[in-house]
Amino acid sequence: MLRQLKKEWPLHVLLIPGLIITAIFSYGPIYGLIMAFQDFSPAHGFWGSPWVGLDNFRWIFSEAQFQRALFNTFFISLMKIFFGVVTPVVFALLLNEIRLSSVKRVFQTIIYIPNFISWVILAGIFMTILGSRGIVNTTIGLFGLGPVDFLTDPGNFPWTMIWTDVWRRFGFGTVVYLATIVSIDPGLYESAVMDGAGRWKQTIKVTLPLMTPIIILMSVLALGNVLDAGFDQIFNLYSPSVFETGDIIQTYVFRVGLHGANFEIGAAVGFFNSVVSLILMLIALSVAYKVANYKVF
Amino acid sequence: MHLMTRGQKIFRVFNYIILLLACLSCLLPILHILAISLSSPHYVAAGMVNLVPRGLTLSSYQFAMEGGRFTRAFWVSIQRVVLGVSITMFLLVTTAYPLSKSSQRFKGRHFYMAFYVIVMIFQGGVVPFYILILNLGMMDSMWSLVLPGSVQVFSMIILMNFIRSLPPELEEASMIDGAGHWKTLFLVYLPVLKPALAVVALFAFMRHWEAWWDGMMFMRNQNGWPLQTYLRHMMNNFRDLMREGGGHQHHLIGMLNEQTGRAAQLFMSLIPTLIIYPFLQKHFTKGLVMGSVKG
Amino acid sequence: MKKLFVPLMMLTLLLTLMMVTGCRNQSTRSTRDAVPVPAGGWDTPFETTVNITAVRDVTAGLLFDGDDTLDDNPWTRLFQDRLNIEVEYVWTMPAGAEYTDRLNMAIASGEIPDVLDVGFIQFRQLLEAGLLLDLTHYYHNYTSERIRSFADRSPGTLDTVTVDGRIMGIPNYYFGVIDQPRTMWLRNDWYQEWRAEGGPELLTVAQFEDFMRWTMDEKGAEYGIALENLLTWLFYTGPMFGVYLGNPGGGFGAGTHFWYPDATGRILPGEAHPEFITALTYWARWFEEGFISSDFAAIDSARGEEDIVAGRVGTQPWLQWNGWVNSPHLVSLWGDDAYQIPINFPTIPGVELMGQANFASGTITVVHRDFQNPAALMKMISLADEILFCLDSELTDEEFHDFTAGRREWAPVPFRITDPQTDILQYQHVVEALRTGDTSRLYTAGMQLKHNESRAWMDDRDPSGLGSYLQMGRIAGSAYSANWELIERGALIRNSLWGPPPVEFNDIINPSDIILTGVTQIIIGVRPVSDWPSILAEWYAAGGQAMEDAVNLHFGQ
Repeated sequence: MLRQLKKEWPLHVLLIPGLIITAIFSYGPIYGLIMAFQDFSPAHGFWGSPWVGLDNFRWIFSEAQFQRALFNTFFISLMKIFFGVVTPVVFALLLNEIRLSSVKRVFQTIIYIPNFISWVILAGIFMTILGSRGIVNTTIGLFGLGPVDFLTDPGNFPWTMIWTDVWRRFGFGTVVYLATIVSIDPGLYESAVMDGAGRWKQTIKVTLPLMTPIIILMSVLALGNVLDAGFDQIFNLYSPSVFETGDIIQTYVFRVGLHGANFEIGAAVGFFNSVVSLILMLIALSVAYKVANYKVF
Repeated sequence: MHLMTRGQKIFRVFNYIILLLACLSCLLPILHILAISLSSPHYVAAGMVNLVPRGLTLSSYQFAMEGGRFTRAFWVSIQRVVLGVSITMFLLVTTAYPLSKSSQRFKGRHFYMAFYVIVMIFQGGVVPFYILILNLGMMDSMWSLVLPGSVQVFSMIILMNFIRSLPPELEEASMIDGAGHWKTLFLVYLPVLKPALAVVALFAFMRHWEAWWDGMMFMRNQNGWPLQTYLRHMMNNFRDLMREGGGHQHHLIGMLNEQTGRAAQLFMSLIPTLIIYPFLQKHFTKGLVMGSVKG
Repeated sequence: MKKLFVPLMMLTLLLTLMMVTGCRNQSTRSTRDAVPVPAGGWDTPFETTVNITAVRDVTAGLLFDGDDTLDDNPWTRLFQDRLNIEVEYVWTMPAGAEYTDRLNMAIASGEIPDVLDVGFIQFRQLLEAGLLLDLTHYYHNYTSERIRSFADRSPGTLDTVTVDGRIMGIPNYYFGVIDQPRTMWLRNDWYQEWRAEGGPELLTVAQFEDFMRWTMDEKGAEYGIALENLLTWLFYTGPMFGVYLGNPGGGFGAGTHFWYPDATGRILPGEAHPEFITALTYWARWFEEGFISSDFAAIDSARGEEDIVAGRVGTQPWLQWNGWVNSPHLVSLWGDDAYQIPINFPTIPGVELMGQANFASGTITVVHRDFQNPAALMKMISLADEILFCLDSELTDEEFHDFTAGRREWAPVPFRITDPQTDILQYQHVVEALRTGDTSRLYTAGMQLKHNESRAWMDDRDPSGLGSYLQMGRIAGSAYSANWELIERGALIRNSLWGPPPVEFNDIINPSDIILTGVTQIIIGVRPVSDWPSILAEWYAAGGQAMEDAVNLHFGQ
C-alpha cells in the first residue's frame, strides 16, 4: 500500500491544480441545485428562501402543456442525436471515396462553417427558403410537388428542426469520422480484398466495426444534454400553429415567463435534465461496455 | 490504377454531386450573410439581398468599430484567449495524464474520474456562480473569465483517451531510463500529444472567443468587456437607438439596421476563427480520432 | 518541451497567488454617517459631502463628450456643485433582460447599492425581505412641488408603491398616455393615389376592406394587412370591432391581457367579451378573402416588416413609433412619398373607436434600508426634473447641450423620474413650433430633438427624421395627432389592471397558448368561429379563471 503510494504520488500531485480549480468553480456553486427544492426569492437568498420539497417538480409535471413539451423535447432531441450520428458517418464514407486530398481538405473546412452561425441568423434564412415562396418549395414545385409547410405544419415541424440541426452540425462529425476511417490500417483492407470483398463489403466488414468506439463516444457525450433540444433554434422558428409538436421545455418555460418565478422552475428543469442524462449515460456506458467492450471514461 | 467498373463510375459521379450540393448548402448561407453585412439596409429590409450585396456600404462595420471601444474590446479578447487557452491546456494535460492510467496502476482513479464526470452533468446555476465570483473578489478581473470552466471535461476525456491509445512501450522505455512521471509526461508524452493538443486548443479557443455572458456579468467596467460582449451590446441596441433617437451615431441609423448589424457582427467575430481553424485542422483530424479510440 | 514546463508552473503559482491576494472586500454601499439635511428648500446644498452609490442600465446610445464618463459628466458635476452630492456607479448593465438578470444576482448576493431602479417583482421581493427604506417622510419634505404634483397628474401611480400608508419607493412614471393607443399605418403614396381616384377616407371597416382589395388589385400587393404569427399585430386591430386586447404571445412576460368590465361590472379579459367573436368572424373572412397572407402562420415580425418594405402589403396595425422602423427603408426604395402614415382605426357599424391605455410606470426607484441620507435622493430627483422638464430652468444653450446631447438626458438614472405629461407637452410644443416657426418655446431636450428631426425630413428629406415626423411632426396626421383626438374626445379605455399584476399571478401560468393556437386555427379555417366558447372555456379551466378572480379581487369594485 505505502509502496504503491510512493510510486504513484506524482500522479496525485499532477492532478492538484485541476482539482483545485474544479473544486472552487464547479463544486463551489453546486449548492445552487437546492434552488430546485425552494420557492426561491433573490432577496432571501439560498439560505433564507422557503423549502417546498418536490413542489416545483410536482407543479411542472402536473401541467398538461409541460408534459407535451417534455415529450417533444425527448423526441426532437433523440432524433437529433440519432441522425446527428448517422448523417456524418454517411458523409465520411462518401468523402473517403474521394481520392484527391486537397478536395477533401477544402470540403472539411467548408462543411464546418455552419457551426459558427448562430440560430438567430440561420432562422431568418430558413424562414425565407422554407416559406411557401421560398427556394425549396419553388424547386419541388417544378416537379409538380408541394408546397410543403415545413414550418407551420405540426407534423413537419419537428422534422424540420431535426434536419436543419443535423445540417448545421454534420461538418464536425464528418471531420471526426473521416479521420477515423483514414487512420484505419490499410492492411486490413488488403486482406479483405484478398477474401474477395468489394468496396461495399469492405465498408461493412472493416470500416464500420472500427468506427464503433468513436460513434459510441460521440453518442454518449451527446446524451449528456438530452433535454436540451435546441432552445435558440426552436424559439426563433416556431409559431403558435406548431406548439403542439414543436414546443420544448425550454421554450415553454421561457414563454410562460412565470412572472419572474422562473429561477426555481429553471433549476428544477435543469436538475431533472441532469438526472435523466445521468441515467441515459449510465445505460449507454454499460451497453457500450457489454456489447463493444469499450470503456469511455 | 485499375480500370473502374461502370458501377463505380456512376457512383463516383453521384458521389461528387452529393458532396458538391452539401458544400454549397454550407457555403451559400455564409455568402448570403456577407452580402447582407455589406448592403444598404433598405434592400436588406425588403429581403432583396441574396448573394450579391446591393447598395454596397461599410456602415455596419463602421458603426461597430466607431470610437476606441472596438479595439479595446478586441485587445481584451486577445488577452483572454491567450491566457485562457494556456491555462486550460496546462490543466488538461496535468489532469488527463494521470487519469489515463488504469486503476490498477493508479489507485483513486475512479474517484477522480467521478469527480469530473459529476460536474459535467450537474451544475449549480448562475446565481451561486455569481456569488462565488463576487466573494472571491474576482469582479472586474480577467481571472473571472479564464479560470471558471478551465478544466473542460469533454476535452479532458478526448485527451485522456488519446494518451491511452499510445503504445505502452513509450512509457515503459522512459521509466526504465529512470525518468519519473513528471519527466515522462513533459518530455516524452507532450511532443507526441501535439495532435490532440491541437484539438483541445481549438475547443478552448472557440469557447473563449465566443463567450459573452461572463464578460457582461463580471465586468462592472465596460472597458473590460471582451469583443463578443461589446458587439452583442452594440447590435442589440438598434431598435432602442431608433426609438429614442439622438446620439452621435444618429447619422448612421438610416444606413444600417438590425440585420446588417448582426451580419457584420458575425463576420467580425468569425474572421479569427476562420484563420485559426484551417491552421489547426491538420493536427486536429488526427488528434480527435486517436482521442476516442482506446488502444 | 522543458521550456514549456517552467512557465507553466510559474503560471500556476501566479494563479494561486492572485486568488489568495485578490480577495478584497468590495462594499457596494457607502458607509458614511448621516449628514444633517440643511434647512431651506429642496435646492439647498448639503454642508458636508454626501456619497451615494447606485447601479443602472445603459443603452448604447448614451454618449459623453471628450473624456467624460458615467462617473464624471455634466450631471455628476451638477449634483456635486449644486447639492454637494457625489455619485458612484457600482456597476452598469445593458438595458433589458441582462440588467434584470444582473439585478437578481446582485440582490441574491447581498450586493445592493444605496439607490437602484427595480421592477415590481423585485420591489415585492425586496420589500418582503425588509430591505427597503420607508421614504414617506423624505418624499413629503425634500422633493420639489413639481415632483409631488406628478402623483395627481398620473392617478393611481403612487398607490402602487405605497404599502400600509408608507411610500416605499419613487415610481418613475411614464411619458404619458398619448403614446399608448395604436393606429393603422398605410402606405402614404398608395393612400394618396386611392384618394385621388375618388376613394373615401377610411372610416369604416368596409372602406378599409375596399382599400386593401384596391392595393392588391392595383398596387401589386400580395395581401391586404401585415400581421405576424404571435398575433400581437392582429390583436392591435381589436378596437375596429369594439374589443380591446393585450399581448398574447409576444416574447418575455407575454400572455398579458387587456382587462375591462362587462355590463355587469365583472372584469374580463378582452378575449372573453362578446365583441371578440365579431372580430374572429372578420379575421377568418379576411384570411379567406386573401387579406391576411396565406403564409400568415409562418410570418414573424421580421418577415412581416420585410413584406411591408418590399411592397408586398400596404397596411399595418402598429404603435406610435413606427416611423423609425419601416418608413426610412420605404422612402429609400420607393420614393419620398412611400412612408407609412398613421390613421385612427376604421370601425364596424355601431362601434365608436376608443384608444387603449395600459399602466406604464413599471420602474421604481428604491433605497436600501441602511442608506443614511435618503434626502439626497429626493433633492437629486427634483434637480434633474428641473433641468429636464421645467420651463423656467434658465439654462444656456451650451448647458442645455451638455445635459442632453448624446441622449444624456438619461445619464442621471436612477436619480431622475419622468414627468407624466412629457409627451403631451412635447407634442403640443413641437406642433406649435412647426406651425409658427418660433422655436423659442422648445424647452426640453425631447422637444428640440423631435422638432429638429421633423424639420430634417420636411426640409431636407432626411429619412432618419421620419420617426419624429410621423410620431408628432406631421401636423395633419401624425400618430400623436390621431391619439390626441381620442384623448380630447375622452375616448380612452384604461386597463382595469391599473398597476402591477396581482401577486396571485406568481402562482399561475397563463395558458395563453390555448388562445394563441385557438385563434390561429380559427383564422386559417381549421376550426369554425363557433368553437371559440369551448376554446375560451379551456383557457378558463387551465388557469384563466384564477387570473380573472385575482384581477377582480384587486381591481374590481
